[in-house]
Amino acid sequence: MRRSPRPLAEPDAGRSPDRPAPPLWVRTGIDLVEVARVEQLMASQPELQERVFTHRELAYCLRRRRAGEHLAGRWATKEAVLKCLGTGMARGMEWTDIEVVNDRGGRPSVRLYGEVESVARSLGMHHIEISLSHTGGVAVAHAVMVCLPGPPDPEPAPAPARTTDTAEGDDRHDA
Amino acid sequence: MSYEGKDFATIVQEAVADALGIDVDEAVPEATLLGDLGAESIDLLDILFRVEKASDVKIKVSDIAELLQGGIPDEEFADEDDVINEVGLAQLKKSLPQIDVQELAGKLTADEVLTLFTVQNLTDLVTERAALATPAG
Repeated sequence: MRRSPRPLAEPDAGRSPDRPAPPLWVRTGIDLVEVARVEQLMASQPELQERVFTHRELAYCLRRRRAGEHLAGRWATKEAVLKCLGTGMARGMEWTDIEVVNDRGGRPSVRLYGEVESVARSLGMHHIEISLSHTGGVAVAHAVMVCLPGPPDPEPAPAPARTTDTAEGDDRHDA
Repeated sequence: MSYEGKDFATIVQEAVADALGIDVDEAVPEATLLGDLGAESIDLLDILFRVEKASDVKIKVSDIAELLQGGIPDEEFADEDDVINEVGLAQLKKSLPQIDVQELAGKLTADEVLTLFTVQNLTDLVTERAALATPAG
């Protein structure tokens, strides 16, 4: 059987041997939250919803049958991203500075704004990959911030921080 | 201390107890929120919002970290291993008067700072913020 050619997407494809690829490095964060805790908080303190979640996140989650699971997944993502930064909720940060958006296939990605974005860029962020899942009463999110070597890029990137092709949860979603 | 007749210590204790699902008697002033009472960040959000509704004093989770560090830059607050230095401990003592600076010297790392925050510290913070928001006299 004929072997397939090696993919050109190899990290060092097309690069001369005397100019090795610059090493990328990553920061990771993971968070696990009980769905019931998020549901209970949002039910008992509904005014908090708009402080924690963006309008787009709420619109996405609240039109789903298991809205609590989706909200919990987004909460876990925000926490996981903060763990990537290593700062926790630092001065000037808002929960809505971290937004989970979904593409038409339901794939989640994360966008950063405000102080969270500033801190991420100061750490040399190139982009963030996320993966989240929710089942059995818990939601989990894993964030991987891919950082460039050397000094951070002071200019905003042309595209928002994008993410993984890992579909969220156990079912597919509309955009 | 009171703010429009409200007792901040009671407001904070009730907020902590309600958010964590514990008895008010357990939310004693000296209990640390993250350590003794096992609060997670979602619980802090819940507690602070309950306090805000009961007292009109708005405090964000990020305000607590800022208060504890007192505007001192990270590199002046802790050493390269993230252990809080003398300057950092002196600052922490202002906001967390219960801490034993000598005991913590050379041991306390930056990520542990929030675990020292007690119910009483939160009451003090609320009291301070309320005083700032209320014109004297």
